[in-house]
Amino acid sequence: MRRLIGRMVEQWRGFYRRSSIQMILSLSFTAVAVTGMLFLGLSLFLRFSVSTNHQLAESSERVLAQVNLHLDSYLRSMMRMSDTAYYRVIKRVDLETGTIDAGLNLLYEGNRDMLVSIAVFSQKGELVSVAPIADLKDSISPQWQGWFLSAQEKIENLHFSTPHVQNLFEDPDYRYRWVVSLSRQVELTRGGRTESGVLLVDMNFGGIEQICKDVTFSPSGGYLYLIDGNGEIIYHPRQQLIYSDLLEENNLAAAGYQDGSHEELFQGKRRQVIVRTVGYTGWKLVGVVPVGGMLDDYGQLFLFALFVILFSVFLLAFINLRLSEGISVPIKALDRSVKELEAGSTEVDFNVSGPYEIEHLGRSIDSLVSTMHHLMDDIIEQEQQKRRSELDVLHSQINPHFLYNTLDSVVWMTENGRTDESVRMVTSLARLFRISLSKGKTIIPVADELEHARHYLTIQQMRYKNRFTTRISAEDGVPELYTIKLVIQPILENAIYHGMAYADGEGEIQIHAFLENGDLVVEVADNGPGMPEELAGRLLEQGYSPPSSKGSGIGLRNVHQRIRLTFGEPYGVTIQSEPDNGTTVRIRIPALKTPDVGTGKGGAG
Amino acid sequence: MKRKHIFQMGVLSLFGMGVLLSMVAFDLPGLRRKQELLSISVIIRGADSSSWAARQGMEQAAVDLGAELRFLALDRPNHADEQGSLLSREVEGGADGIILVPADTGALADSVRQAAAKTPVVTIESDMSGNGASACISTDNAALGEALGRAAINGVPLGGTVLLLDGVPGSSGMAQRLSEAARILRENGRQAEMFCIPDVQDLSGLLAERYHADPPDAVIAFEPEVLESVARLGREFEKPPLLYGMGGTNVVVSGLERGEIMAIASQNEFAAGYLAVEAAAQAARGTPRQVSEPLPFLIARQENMYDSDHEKLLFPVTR
Repeated sequence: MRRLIGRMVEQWRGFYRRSSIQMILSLSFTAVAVTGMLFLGLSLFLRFSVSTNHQLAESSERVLAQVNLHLDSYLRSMMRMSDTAYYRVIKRVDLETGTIDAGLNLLYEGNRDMLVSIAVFSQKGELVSVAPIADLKDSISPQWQGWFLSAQEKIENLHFSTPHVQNLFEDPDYRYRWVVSLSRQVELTRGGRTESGVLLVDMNFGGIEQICKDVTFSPSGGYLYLIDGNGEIIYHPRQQLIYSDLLEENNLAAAGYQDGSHEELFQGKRRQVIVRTVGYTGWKLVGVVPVGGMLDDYGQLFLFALFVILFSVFLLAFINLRLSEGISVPIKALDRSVKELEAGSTEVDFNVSGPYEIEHLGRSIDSLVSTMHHLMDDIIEQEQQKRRSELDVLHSQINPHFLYNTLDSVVWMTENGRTDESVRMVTSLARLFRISLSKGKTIIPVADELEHARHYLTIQQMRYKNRFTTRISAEDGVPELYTIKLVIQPILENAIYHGMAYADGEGEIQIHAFLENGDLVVEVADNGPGMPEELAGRLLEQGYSPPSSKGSGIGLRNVHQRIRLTFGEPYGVTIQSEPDNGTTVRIRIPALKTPDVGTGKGGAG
Repeated sequence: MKRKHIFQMGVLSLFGMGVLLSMVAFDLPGLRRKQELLSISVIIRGADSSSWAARQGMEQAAVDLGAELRFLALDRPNHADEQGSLLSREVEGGADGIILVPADTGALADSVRQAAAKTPVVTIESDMSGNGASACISTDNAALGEALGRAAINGVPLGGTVLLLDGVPGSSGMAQRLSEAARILRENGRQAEMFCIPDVQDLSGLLAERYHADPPDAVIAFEPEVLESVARLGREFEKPPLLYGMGGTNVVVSGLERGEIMAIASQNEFAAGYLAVEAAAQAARGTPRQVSEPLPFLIARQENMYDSDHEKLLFPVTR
């Protein structure tokens, strides 16, 4: 279980990471809104249900109380009629000398809508009087009937029977009528003596039916029925169906209910049952109201609810999509701008319109980017300055070294009267320095660089008394190209010091400038003693100092570093040498057609 | 507007229309659709249906099940040809269901078969399911005949004659009652004699002749109208034969109470009517229906006719 929850959480996180902010906002808004809606709906529904049920119960009880009142009134009028018959008719007549027929008939005629008959029987069940006038059936023995026995059993009470077919009197039309009998024990006067008898008032069952029928409790249905204390049905709107076993009623259970509202489950249906006891008789009025009648048509209700929910959810999702789009569009615009910036674009607009926070964020990013550009420019500028200062340092490393030696030679030649040579050397030196300065430029034409080399070699040849010869050549067009100044001279210096110093008039230094694979190559070759290949390979290493050598190779490395600083790899110096086979140093730089140097390739042709 | 937005608006509109449609179509205030009223024709085999006890049950069922009943009486009682014509007419008239009390099952077989092919036909008293009828609402006719036969045995001496009145000669239900009554009487040493009455109006005359010529010890009438007539005839004789029969009309019950009829077999006519309409309505609506049990009946005598069970059966509480 824990693993499953963990997996679900992980899936949710994955979905969260993959989703756009608009999607997350939309889903969140919709989920919150739907949850709230369902919660509110459920709360209202439950509250409404409770309230409705309560109102329904109250309304049903009121209806039932009203019916009870009518029924009670009806039964009391019957009892008053019985009292009238007894106290105003029967008690006032001595049967030996008079008759009660007229009195009973008068009473019957006054209430014939409610009555079927009023009859008085002797203690033995003989008919004393009846209204309307009729003959007692031969087959009937009243003294054995329930109403008669009840009256004799409890003489002080009035007894209401359950509905039954009146079977006492002959009817020329063969009518059999359902009645409710009200019987009581009475005292009959005959010849001054009293004897026991029974007064029977047969009420038309229709009277009770009139009171109870057509009672409804709610729009979804409901009905009322009447039972006696034992649960025997007195009235039911579908009485004959029950008698025919086509319908069942929970009347026996209802007989056990106390007055008030009850809920019962009968034949799989939940229903509210309101019970009220009818005074004196012990009968019970039972109101039945189906609970959840609205849910009978469950399929239609479900379909309707489904439509409403889907409509609401989709409406919410639609509105939330629009709302979240309004919120997320500026964020997306910012995101796009940042992506453009990442792609290298320099002209990115971070000014987006939207909520205050987003606009502020855009302005902040814009400010940050602007600051970053400034900082980068500053760094580049500082780097270039640093590079220039390094170059200046390197230049300064060349000048004093050479100047001392040359001036020494001039002094020496002058002292020895070699004025012409001295003049030539000074002239070359002057020329050399003019090219070295080149008005502060670091990039000069190849022709000037070669000129510079020639003057340098002139000076050195004079110093070394022509121990070596020189040859300078260049392919057509190469002299017009541009190069960093003073890259050949340090190599010549090395060739002279390490190669030609011991030559005996047979030394030779060749300088050849040419184009190779689009690059400018200046090759300086000497036929000096050369050096092991391993040593040649290490001369350019930073901090390497060759053993038992006059120089440290610093001049060669300076040239190499300057070229690398200016143009980067793969440009620079390479050395090829073998012992007794001379040394060839190759300078490789881009073929620059203009003096502008960018990254090393900017002015390349 | 983007295509996505148009799609969303479309779906939203569809749901909105769905809500509106469901509100209109499903009658929200009550959420109850009124059931379509069925038109059911009831073809009896008598000339008057007003006093027919089953009618009250039918009318109750019509209210409960949403049906409109049309009672069709015959010009001449038990006239099968007229019933056949009525059957055809009602089918042509578009009745959703027909309830028939067949006067002559043999003569009506074709008519019922043709009618049942177009509309559900439910019979009362005589089973015609072999001719395509959807259901038959009836007591167990054989058991009823046997019960009446046994009732007669008590009052008729060994070798005595019991006249079995056949008031509806063509009815298979009646025939079953008669044959079973005859069988039980004969098995118990009494003579059972069939007495066919093609027209009930001729009954008094024919039976009076027989009473004078060769009075039987007992008579059993298997149909209420015949029983009423025989009971009335009995009043004309000083010592009429013992009378038994089938029926629950007020006249019959009165005869029982006065001792003119010794015993009656009574079925719940109200239930018969109710169940017949229920069966017709279910068949018309195509609702599956359980096979109904035969209707129960009781043998009532003077001494027990006001017992609770008999009382409810003999005196329907109807409104």
